[in-house]
Amino acid sequence: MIATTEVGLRAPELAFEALAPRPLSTPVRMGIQEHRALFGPMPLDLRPLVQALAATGLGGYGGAGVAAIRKWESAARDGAGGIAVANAAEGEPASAKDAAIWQTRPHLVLDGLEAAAVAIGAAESVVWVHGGDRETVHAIERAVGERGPGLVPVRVVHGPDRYVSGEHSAIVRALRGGAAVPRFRPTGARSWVGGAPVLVNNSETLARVALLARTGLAGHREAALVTVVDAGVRRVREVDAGDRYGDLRGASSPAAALVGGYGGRWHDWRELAERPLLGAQAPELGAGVVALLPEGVCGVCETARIADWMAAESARSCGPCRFGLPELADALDVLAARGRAGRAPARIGTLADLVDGRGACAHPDGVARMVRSALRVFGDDVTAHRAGRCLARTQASVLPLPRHGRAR
Amino acid sequence: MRVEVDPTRCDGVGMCAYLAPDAIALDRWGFPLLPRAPRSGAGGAALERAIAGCPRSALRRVD
Repeated sequence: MIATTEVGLRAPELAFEALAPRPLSTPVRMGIQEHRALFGPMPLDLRPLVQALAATGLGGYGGAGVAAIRKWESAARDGAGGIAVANAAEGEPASAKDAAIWQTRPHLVLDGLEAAAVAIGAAESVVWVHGGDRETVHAIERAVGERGPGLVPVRVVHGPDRYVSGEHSAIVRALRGGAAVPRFRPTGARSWVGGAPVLVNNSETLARVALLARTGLAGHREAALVTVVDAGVRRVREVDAGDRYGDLRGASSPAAALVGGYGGRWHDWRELAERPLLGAQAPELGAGVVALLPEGVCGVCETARIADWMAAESARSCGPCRFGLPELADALDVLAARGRAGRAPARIGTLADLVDGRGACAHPDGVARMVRSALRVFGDDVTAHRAGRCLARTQASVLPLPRHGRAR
Repeated sequence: MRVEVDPTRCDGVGMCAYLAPDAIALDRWGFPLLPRAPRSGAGGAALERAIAGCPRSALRRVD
C-alpha cells in the first residue's frame, strides 16, 4: 500500500510522497546527527558489502541498468588514484528523485560515495550536480560541510544544465577539463578511455549501497524511488516488489504512461496498471519516471512536444543525432498539426531507425524508442491525425518541459 | 573485419563510402552506415582503405 505522507519539496509543483516504513521514505531532511542516530556508522570492513553487491546486483538507478559491482570492479582493476563520482545531475526533466534524496537523505549518498571511493582506491570524490538546481546544490553543500573530513576528500562540481551533461562520458570529460558533452566509447574500452579511472554512480544507487552495508544481504529488500508525474504534480515515491503501476494513480484516470523518462516507452494504461513496478516481469523503469497521460489528452501531440525538446537537447556532436532528431521532431510536428500527415508515420519510422544507435551516447536511441512506442500505443490518435482530426478533448500540455539550459 | 565510427569525430565527408562503396553507404545527411557483418577478402581490404583514408580519423577497426 502506498502511504500518503507528503511535504512540499520544490513547491508548488513537486511533492515527496513516500511509502511509510521504508528507509528512504520519510520526507524530512536528516542532518548528520539524525543520520548517525538512525542508521549507525558505515561498517569499516567493505568485504561483506562487496559480496552483498555481487549477490544482489544492486545498481542502475540512473537508468543505464549497470550493476554497481561491475563498475566498481572495472574501476578497481585500472588502479588507484582515480575519482569516485556521485551523479546528482538529473537530466530527465520530469525526474525529481535525485533532488528528493539529496534534500532528505544526503548522508546516505555520501556514505555510499565514501564506500565506493575506498573500494576503488580513489584519490578524491566528486558530487556532480546541475548548477541550476539551487535547492539540491544547497542541500549537497550543507551535507558535505557538516560531515567534516572523511576517508576521501569530497568536492562538489557544477555541470551545465543540459539533458546529456549527466551522461557518464560527459562527466568524465568535464572532470578532465573538457566540455561536458558525451564522448565516444570504442568497443572494449573502459568508459574513462585512458587515464585514472572515473567511477560514476547514480545518487540513489549510492544511497542504497549505504543501506545494504548496514542491513547486509539478509536484511535487503529490493526497492526504488519513482517520480510520478500526475496532473501537473511530481511526486517521489518509494516502491517495492509488491507494488503495481495501478497503485501509483491518484485521483486521475490515465490513458497511458511514459515509463523510464523522456527516452523511455509509452504504455497503454489498461495493460500497464496490473504490472509490477520492480522485478523480472516489470517494464524497464529507466531513470524511474512514470509520467501519466490523462484521458482526453492527445498522445501524438504530447509526443511531438517531447521530441521537439529532446531534439534541441542534443549536444550536436554526432551527425545523425544533430540532423536526425530535428527531422524526426519535424515529422512528428506534421503529424500533430494534421496537415499533409498521411505519410508522416512512415517517415517517423524511417527516421527513428536512422538515428537509433548512431550517437556517442544513448540520447538518440531514447528518442527513437519513445517515438516508436508512441506510434504503437497511440494508434487511434495516429489514425485520426492522418485523417485530419484530433481525438483530444483538451489541448492542454501535461508533461513538464523546462526551458533549454535553464534551471528548473 | 568490422569497423566502427566515432560519431563525434565524423564530419560526413564521405570518403569512406567512396573508398569502400560495396560496404559503406551514406545516410541522407552524408554520415556512414556501416556493415554489421564482418567483411573479408576484397571487402576487408576496402574497409582498410576507408579507415586509412578518413580525413577525420573517425573510423576504427573492431576485429
